[in-house]
Amino acid sequence: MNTDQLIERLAQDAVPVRRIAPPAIRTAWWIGLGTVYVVFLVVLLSPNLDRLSGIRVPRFWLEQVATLATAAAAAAAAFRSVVPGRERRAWMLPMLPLAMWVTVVAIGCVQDWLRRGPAALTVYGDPTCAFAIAVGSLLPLVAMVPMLRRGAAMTPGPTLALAALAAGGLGAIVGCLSRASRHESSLTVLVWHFGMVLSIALVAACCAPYLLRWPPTSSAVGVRRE
Amino acid sequence: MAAANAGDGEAYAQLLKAVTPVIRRVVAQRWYVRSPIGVEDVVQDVLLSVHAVRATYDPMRPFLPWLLAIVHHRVADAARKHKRSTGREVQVDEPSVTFLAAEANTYGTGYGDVDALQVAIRSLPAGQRNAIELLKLQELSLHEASAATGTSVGALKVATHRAMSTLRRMLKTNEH
Repeated sequence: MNTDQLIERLAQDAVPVRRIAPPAIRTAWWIGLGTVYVVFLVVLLSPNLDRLSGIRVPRFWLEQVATLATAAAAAAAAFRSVVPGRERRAWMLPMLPLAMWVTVVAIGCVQDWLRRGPAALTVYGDPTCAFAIAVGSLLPLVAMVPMLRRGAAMTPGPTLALAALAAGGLGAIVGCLSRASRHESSLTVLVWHFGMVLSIALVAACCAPYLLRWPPTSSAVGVRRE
Repeated sequence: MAAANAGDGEAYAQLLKAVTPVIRRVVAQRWYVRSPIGVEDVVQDVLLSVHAVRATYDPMRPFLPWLLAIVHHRVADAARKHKRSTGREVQVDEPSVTFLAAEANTYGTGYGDVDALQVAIRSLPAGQRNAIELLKLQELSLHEASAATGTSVGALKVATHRAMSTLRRMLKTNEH
């Protein structure tokens, strides 16, 4: 089939299409539903919800805000990355909140070290937290994949890594809020939370070619190029 | 493009025809495989991609950056695909129809020295010469030759085999 014939076939297939919503709107939907899911999981998993109302450490709440901001910015970047012409430098969006999140946790590490000395540099095993992060990030990530597939998967790996960062952020909030007591040290938070989020992002990036593809082209219009 | 997304096929065809030369030019600039067929393949891929993701076009934003982003990524995809497929291929010259060694070329080498063959056949012992004449020159079957000569089939086979060996040896000696 030559190019002119292809254009004729495409024109014949020009049925009305509904424009996908702008990235900001899609982000708002996703983060809104994600927040509902986080609240639901925290209520479900937390053995002691009253503990949260007793937390008076501003750094703890600042960390949660920074995590949520990272999730929102990463989701916005992921949705932008599937819109042609808007995908450039999309990955830079979550960098500022991510840096804020890391900084808040790092400040906690320093404060722990000043208060407790070398004992604060111990990393404790925290499988409960890891489980909560995994559960908290799985559904938002799964929900985001079909939303991304409606766009143009121009850079599948980075797009899904951003989506995993967003979902991992929500998971990290679940991991923090659903605990019976506070983490033993900020270094534990740093290692487990960021370790889990990075692992999820890495796995997602590796699976990206199988999960995110350009929408089917030839089958969409019944065209088989010869 | 907005009209095309609303289902106006005519406007869509006009748009695609108008942008195809632009796409072709950009692809030709970026596509490193210097083959017109390769360029046209990528152009068609871009058109199919435009069609597949036309729902991502925002009428409030300019059309060309949207189109060029698709072109850019499709060219990159095509280059990766081309590299993957050619990376497993080894370019070789067109292979010979048969092996180069003379021993392997049993066909198509033409006739040898016919006179030398006739002389060699005449020099064979009578039994072997008869077997060759009947079975190879007159192309009789073993049973026909056996009936004609009164010799057993087995004896004819042995005589033919020995005659062929003798002839091969004699002709080889003549060549040297």
